[in-house]
Amino acid sequence: MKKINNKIIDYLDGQMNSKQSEEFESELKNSVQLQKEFKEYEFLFNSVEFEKSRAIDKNYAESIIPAFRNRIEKNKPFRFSEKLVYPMYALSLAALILLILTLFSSTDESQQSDLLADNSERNDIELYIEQISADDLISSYRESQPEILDSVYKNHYSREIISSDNAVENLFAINGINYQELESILSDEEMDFVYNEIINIEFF
Amino acid sequence: MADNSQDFDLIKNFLDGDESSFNRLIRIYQDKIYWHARRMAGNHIDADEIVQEVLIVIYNKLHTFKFESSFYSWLYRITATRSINYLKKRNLKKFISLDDLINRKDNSVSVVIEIEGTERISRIEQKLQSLPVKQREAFIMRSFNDFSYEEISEITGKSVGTIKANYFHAINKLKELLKNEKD
Repeated sequence: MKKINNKIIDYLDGQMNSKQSEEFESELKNSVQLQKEFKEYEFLFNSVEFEKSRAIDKNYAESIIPAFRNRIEKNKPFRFSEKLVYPMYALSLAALILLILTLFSSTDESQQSDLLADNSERNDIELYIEQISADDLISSYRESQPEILDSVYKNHYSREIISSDNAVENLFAINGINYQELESILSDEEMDFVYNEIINIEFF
Repeated sequence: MADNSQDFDLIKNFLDGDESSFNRLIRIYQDKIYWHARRMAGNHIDADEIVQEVLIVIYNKLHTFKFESSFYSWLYRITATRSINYLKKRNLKKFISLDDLINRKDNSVSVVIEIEGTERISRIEQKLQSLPVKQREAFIMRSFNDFSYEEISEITGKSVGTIKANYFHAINKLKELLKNEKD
């Protein structure tokens, strides 16, 4: 039954080719049951055709666009014209690039001036160190800070003299005394006294 | 129905800022939109609401139209989707408020009568409301708008097999309803 119904629908719907239509029509002629079914479907298809012929009410048809225009005027969304979209993008992009460049250029300038100042200071110091000799340094120090320089000398020489193998001989030699001659003349106690005196004068 | 090139020219003009081109474009298709909505909804008030919704969507989305398919298919897809969405909303409202349903039915009948004068409401239109929405949609698109199964499939996103099944179910059901009425 379902198969027959589908055949009727295909026939009325124009889905059959000429051969299929001829076969169906001959089948229809020979079957009362099929004719009865066919009439019911035909009634439906005719009703649809009748319904298709109905026209939209003229007054209503004319009111559709004005009603729509009223609606969008009340709640009109902001819409870019296609012509404006690209210039707006370009303008925004240009503004953004300008902003970035301004920010970066100001940062660079401040950083560059700092770097320049640092470099010039460093160069001055290096140049000064290269130019000045050790003797100049000592003499300038002697003028400005003689006490500090003396203490540096004393510490340096005392450490050197004491740590050497001929510490006592060196001490006498520093003060222009021949240790060998003194030893032959003076007693051990007298030698200790001279030695202590030299140390006191030289280092304390 | 207008040819594609005429539609495309009107769309381009509208996108270039010519609002009157939109009006001209809609005048070509407004009957199609209305009748689909009317047959889906079963009354004039809801059909009018759907028409207005469809026009607003077209107005706002026309810049996304790709000029690859026909404008009619594109417009019909919007109309079909909006109609189903509207019916879903309406059913939900009916479910929430029975009073609203009664008022709506009274109003819609009176307005339809007013618009159509002495013409009685179509028998088929009434019977269509007894069909499930998907069967109704397939039947309207195939019977009233003469779309092929493939075109309906493209518009609705359903397979040709599903469309055919819905269409055949709709025909058989409508045939039975009309037969019962006669008996």
